[in-house]
Amino acid sequence: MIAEIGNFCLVLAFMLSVAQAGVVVAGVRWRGLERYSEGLSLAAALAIAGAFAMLITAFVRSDFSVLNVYQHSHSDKPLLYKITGAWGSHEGSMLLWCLILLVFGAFITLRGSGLSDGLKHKALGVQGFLGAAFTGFTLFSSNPLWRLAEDPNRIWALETAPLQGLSLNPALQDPGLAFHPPMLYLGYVGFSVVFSFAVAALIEGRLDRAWARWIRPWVLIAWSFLTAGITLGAFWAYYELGWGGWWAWDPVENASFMPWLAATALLHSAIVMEKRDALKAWTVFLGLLAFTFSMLGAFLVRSGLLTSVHAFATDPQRGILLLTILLVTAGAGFALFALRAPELKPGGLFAPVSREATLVVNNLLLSAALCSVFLGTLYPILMQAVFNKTMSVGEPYYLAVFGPIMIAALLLIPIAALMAWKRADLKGVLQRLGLAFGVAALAAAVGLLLYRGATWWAEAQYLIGLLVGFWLVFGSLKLLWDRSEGKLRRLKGLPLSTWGMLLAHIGLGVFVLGAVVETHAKEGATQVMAVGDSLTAGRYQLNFTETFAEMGSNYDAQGGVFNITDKGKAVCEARPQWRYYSASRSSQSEVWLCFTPLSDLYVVMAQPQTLTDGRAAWSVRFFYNPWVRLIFFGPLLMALGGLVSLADRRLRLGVPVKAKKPKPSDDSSVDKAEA
Amino acid sequence: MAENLEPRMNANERQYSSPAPAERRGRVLLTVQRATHLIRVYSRSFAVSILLLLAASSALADPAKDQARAEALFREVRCIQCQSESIADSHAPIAGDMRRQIREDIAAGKDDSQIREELRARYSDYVLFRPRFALSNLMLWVLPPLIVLLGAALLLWLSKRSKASRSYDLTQAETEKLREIMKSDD
Repeated sequence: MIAEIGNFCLVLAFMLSVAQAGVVVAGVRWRGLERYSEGLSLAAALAIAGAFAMLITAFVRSDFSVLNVYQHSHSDKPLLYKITGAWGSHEGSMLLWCLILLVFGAFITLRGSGLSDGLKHKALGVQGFLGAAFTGFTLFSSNPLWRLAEDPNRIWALETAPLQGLSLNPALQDPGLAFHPPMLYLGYVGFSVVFSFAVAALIEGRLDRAWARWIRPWVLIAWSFLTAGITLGAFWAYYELGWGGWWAWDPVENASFMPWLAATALLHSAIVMEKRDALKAWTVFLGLLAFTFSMLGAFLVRSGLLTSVHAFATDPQRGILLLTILLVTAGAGFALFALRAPELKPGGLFAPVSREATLVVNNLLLSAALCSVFLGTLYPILMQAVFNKTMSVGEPYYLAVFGPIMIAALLLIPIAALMAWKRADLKGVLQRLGLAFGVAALAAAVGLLLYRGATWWAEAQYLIGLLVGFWLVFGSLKLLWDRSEGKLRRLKGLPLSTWGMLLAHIGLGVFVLGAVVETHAKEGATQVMAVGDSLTAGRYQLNFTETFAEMGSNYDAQGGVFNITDKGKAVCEARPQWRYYSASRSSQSEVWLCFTPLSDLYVVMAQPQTLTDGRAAWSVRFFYNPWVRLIFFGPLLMALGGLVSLADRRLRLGVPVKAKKPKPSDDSSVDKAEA
Repeated sequence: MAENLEPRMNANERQYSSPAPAERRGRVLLTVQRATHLIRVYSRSFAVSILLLLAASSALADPAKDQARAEALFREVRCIQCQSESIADSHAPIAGDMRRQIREDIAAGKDDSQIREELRARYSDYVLFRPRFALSNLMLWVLPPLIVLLGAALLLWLSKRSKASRSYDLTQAETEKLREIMKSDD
């Protein structure tokens, strides 16, 4: 019954979305009809929420007559992973995508009181079209609520329900991955609202500062969640996959990174549009681009084109359907843009040296960086498809092409933040930043003294990386100092959006520092070890003292006890495991991290084997990862910065309805500080 | 001989020094000749000593440097049976074999490009995480920097144009028109 109720809700959500798009189109002919899109968007959100609740219920109750539950759950699984199993598969995660899409659509209605009716209804119409496309796709081709007997491929078409499920991939049974997809989707799908508003504004032919102000909260929400989601994914890859790294430039990672780059550019150009009424066409273009890359990511991950640890194994038919949705929506959006963009009146003028101009350069660099990631991700696929030649694009390519472009963009940040609008004094800004740069250079030089690189080139990279990281941190602190004029009391008067910007920029600097130190000063060793063996990485020694066995709720684990010493002094005891999940007949290594505030000692044991003398042994990897915490802490600071900025009163107010009237006193002080 | 050498003389000297007596000029030429000879001889012996050093260094390879080279190469080489992992990161037995092969190649004195080329010959382009700088990969390498350059050029051009268009001087036609309006007002 649960599955049928869920299916009914899903059908309802699809019909309501179709109606939502339909009434807006019909409203062109019969005036007033488009008003019903508001109520329909709320109803559609309720319906999809019902469908999703039913899916979770089916998972919690281990209803193995439901195909998706049978394939991805098991009665032994802990409750948390039963629930998160609901979005652990292609079908379930599509339903999550639809849920977020329709709920965001409802928020256009709920939060759109300050919008003009025309814009709101057109945006709801586009959102309704997107909702219909994705719920339709889920309903007809990837329905997680199908019963076993309804399996379209007739593989699992059993007459009676099985007593036990096939269980979830053990690598996905992890708190990090439990919350990684919802975060990521809140980001991906958040851009759908921006897309809808971009299309609506292009149809209306009106793009102004109010529009930019209205989309900025959406960009900030989506960007913050996307940042947090990518970070969570990187952290999951770091401690669950057991390879000691956190980012592999894997195509699926890139698929989430591309919308992030586009959104970061959008975030900055939307500020220019909101404050100065300039860069209109470009901002709208990026608004279309961000969601296009989100859809491209969804297509790449689900089409079976990519082989990756994260990719869902799916059949090409779904890929073609997703590609159709992508091409139709993005194609229509960009075609509309091409038709209407020339009519947009250029807004505020600015001098070549000004905040606007530096943000334009930032956008240019981000676009070039985006292009390199895009090419690196799609080139191998194209070469395979067109020339039937296999090739690879990996880390060395990105370091060589993406790296320098990003370094230039990062160096620009503290300068841009200190620039005045309209016309700025570059020399003055550089003079004000002189001390910050000096301190950053000094810190980088001290860092270099503590590091012995293998080659001069490695040392140069390390130095540049540290310099960029420290420059971001100290340059941002200099801005804080200037705004507060050195008085703690004045810090309270700073607008939240300024705090948000500072947090994000400092977080970026913190991330760069972590990434540079971790990459260059990392120590590691791999060896097949039996009890009694020891392994050295840098100044740390790993001694294998004993083994133990453990029974988990749905796995059997063999573990090792390792004593780690730092020049003879005991530091910590590591207990990594090698787990066997009998339900899915698969194995998974469980990493042990010796946690310190900044750095990790990382031990992972894999692949049990028997030595020639009959002793049991494991392939053990041991890493010392200095400053690795900053890699995850920095982006979280960035996401926090986005949310803090979102809490700014002026953004919450939305459109400035009465900008001409004198403002209350607390607001005017805020504005002065901003200027 | 002297005529041949003359053009090599410092142009500045010829231009700015007062005309020198013939024998002085001859002495200068002699010094120049001697200097070039010395440089030639020393550079030859210098080259020989460099070669000797190189030979010695390949015989007595610096293990730390070899290790660094090997590790840098491991990051560039894809484990051919894994999912987008370099052989530096992979647990797979084939990755271990490939690492061993590269270590042996380095010990045998092959340079990095030679090792890459041999890997490519055996496993195709798929094995290299750093795509070759070839015609088929040109777009991959050139497009992103090109966007930066073209974008920068476009921005410069736009800023120049906006500066020009913002000048408040009237054009010829506008001046004529203004004069006519003024006239008709009278």
